[in-house]
Amino acid sequence: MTVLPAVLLLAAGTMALRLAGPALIGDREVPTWLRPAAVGAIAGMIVLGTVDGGGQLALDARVAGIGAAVLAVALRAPLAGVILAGVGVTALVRAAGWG
Amino acid sequence: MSNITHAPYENTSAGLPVPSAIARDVATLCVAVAAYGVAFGVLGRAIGLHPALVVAISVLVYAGGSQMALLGVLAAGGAPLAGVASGLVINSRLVAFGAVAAPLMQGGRGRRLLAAYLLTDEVATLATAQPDERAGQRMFWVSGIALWLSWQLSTVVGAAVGGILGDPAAVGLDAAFPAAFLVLLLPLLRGPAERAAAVGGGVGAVVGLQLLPAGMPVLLAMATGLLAAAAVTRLGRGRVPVEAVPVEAVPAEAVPVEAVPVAVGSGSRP
Repeated sequence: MTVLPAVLLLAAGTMALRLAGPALIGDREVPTWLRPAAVGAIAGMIVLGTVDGGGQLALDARVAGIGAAVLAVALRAPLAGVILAGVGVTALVRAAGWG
Repeated sequence: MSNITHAPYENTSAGLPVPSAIARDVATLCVAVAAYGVAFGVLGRAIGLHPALVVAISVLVYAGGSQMALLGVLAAGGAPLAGVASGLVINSRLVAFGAVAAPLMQGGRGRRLLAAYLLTDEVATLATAQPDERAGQRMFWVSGIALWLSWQLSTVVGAAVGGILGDPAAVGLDAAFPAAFLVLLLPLLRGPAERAAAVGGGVGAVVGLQLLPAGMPVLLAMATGLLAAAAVTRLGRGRVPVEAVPVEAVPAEAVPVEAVPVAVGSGSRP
């Protein structure tokens, strides 16, 4: 299989995944348990974005960056400020050679 | 942090979030998404894909994580089908996000199709965090269209400039999305069940990272998040036997009530 057929397959499968959620819910109310599932997924994505080093745990500059982002959130910074804090500290720590 | 409520949007008298606040946050995310779109475009060219193919991938698949995973497999010389499998696992979270955002994606067939196509993690999170369904629908479409444009245009830019740009990680850009989702997550933490779900999800992600292939740790995080929320809800019920206590005497914390569940229709009164 070359690249383009693979891309088409991924595209079709992804579109099916996108349609599945609303299709399963239909006109009904969203079940109560789905919200914690979504929250769990988002929290998981935050953690993975911080410590995922290609399939294994990696504690590097991102930990400092996300730590700075947490601080920014606690200080009620807007979204842009939190992202800048996270990105900035990560870049600085990397530049300093600490992961 | 549990008693800090990040309420990003003050409502106008019509009950809708202030447009400037929506625009500000969506614009911020557009910048973050654009940075990754450029990275994807550059990476695609770096492994030798035709620029038109790189752009086509972003249009057809429109899911950054899986797009990067596909490139990773191709770069390592793996079979494209393996990249497809990995990508589909990574994108399976879209089922949950689509389900939670379902009330905000309604309409005629064409509209529902477009809504599904525009669905991403960020769009779903932003939209379901809104205080009510009308605001949620507005946020869905505004962020859905804006982020799509951002991704496509930045992919074009990245594919066009090729290898001129350096490594996104060097400038700390890989921290952008975890940082953004931190902020986006907070309005969703409306009660003890959701907060437990966040902790459970984080733990599940770390465990899954050690044991599972790409994309699956997030699915495990969903499951552990669910379990944690269920456990907390059950403990809450156990403390206060509803039949034996007059309604006024029930302390607010013992009963995880969702004050404004309209956006996802999830009234969690036990």
